[in-house]
Amino acid sequence: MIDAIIHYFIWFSPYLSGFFWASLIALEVSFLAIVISWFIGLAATIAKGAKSRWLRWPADFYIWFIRGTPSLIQIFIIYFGIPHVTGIPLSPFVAGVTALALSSGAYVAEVFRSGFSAIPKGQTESALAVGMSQVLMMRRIILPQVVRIVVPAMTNEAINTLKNTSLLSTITIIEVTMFAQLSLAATFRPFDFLIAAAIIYLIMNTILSQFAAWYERRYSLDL
Amino acid sequence: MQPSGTDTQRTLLQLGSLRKSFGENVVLDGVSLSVSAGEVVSLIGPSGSGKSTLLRSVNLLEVPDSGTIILDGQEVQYRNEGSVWRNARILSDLRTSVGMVFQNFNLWPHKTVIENVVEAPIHVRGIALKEAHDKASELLEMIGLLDKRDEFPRRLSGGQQQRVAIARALAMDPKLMLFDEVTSALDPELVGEVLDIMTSLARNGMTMIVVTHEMGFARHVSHRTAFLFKGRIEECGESEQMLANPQSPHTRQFLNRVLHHQ
Repeated sequence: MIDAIIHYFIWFSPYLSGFFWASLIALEVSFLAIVISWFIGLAATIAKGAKSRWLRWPADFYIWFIRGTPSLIQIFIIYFGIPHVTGIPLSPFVAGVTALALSSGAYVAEVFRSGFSAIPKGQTESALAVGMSQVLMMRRIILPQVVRIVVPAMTNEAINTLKNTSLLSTITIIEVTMFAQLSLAATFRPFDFLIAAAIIYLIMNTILSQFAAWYERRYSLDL
Repeated sequence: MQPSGTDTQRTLLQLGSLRKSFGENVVLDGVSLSVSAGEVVSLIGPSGSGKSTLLRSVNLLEVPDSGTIILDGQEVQYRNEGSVWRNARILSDLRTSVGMVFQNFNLWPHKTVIENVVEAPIHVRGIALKEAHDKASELLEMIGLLDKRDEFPRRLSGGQQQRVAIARALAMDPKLMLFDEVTSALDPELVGEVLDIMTSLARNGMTMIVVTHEMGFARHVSHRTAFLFKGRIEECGESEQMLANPQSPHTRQFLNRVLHHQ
């Protein structure tokens, strides 16, 4: 029995470094996409709440479009569609990060919006009453509270983005799913490589949600 | 009671014919009021009479449709050719010299007690960290909560939170303090500790406008009391005299109702 396990690992070990590098790519892409999606989401939230319809309408359209279309189509539009129309080629990496960030940003915007609406009006008033500017109030009083409120929902969204990196296998990025596919095609052992890929996603997401849970405990606003 | 201090005659705040409507609803119907330095003025009146709106107009949390606000000899330019003029500089200057305390305390829950107090001095005024903390500690000592300096507001009782809110406003060295029904959200047994601090501020010469339902405070601490009714100051006079012997039937009716509930 032990022998069999050892043999299995000896057989599998050449693929470990491949999976390692593929995981790094997935982490890199999702890290960038997640951070960019926060800015896109925040901008969309603020635009949606703006007085001018020239800010509101584009934000509404963006959220409506992203929420109503599959991520895979969005990725294809960015990677194949945009270069075709503009003539400017995009690397798979840039297209992948952009597509995932845009795709997640719309959901992030909705999360932020619920976060902002959870802040009592009195918080704004007491900040303004001591002479804060809108920007200072946002930075020092409102956003720190919003961030604490939205951590659980944002964690879900980050996990989604991380999982969605698997879609980037369709635009030639060698992330975890792509590497598993390449390996199983060469060895005809789909079960082994797909389970390995699943385990890797599980590890990454578990670490992510543990970190979020720690952050939530650390900065809790609970009464 | 007469205002104490040397510069009693100096007018600190002068409101001239303030008007404000929300749609069809006229909330301020031409209110004029002037407050001397060191004077404490109570605003009383039924709910919806415009007393909170009047108070909130002073620091432009509510922007009047028309009328003048003159603070310490300077007219506040809150409108430009009829439209609201949101000049950040003007707003900030006005609000740093006018402190405000709210009914629901509105402390910032993600900051500790001392952080609440030093926030604006450091980030709005640009005062050095050390100096701001020293001053904040002094204020916390004054309100009797120095031992709570590192607690978060949620750990404090309502009365303690409101005292911190007063310290937070005082930390900016305001010329004028506005109190908006600051004891209305408190359990009855906690009202006293907040009124005590307001009383000692008043005795120390702070200029205050106080929207209140505490007739005892109006009568014994404030120099003048104004009764608002339907967006107008119906009656205004020396507190003791006015509350004992109101001239207007509306004031009488209101006082009857309030006093019989207490």
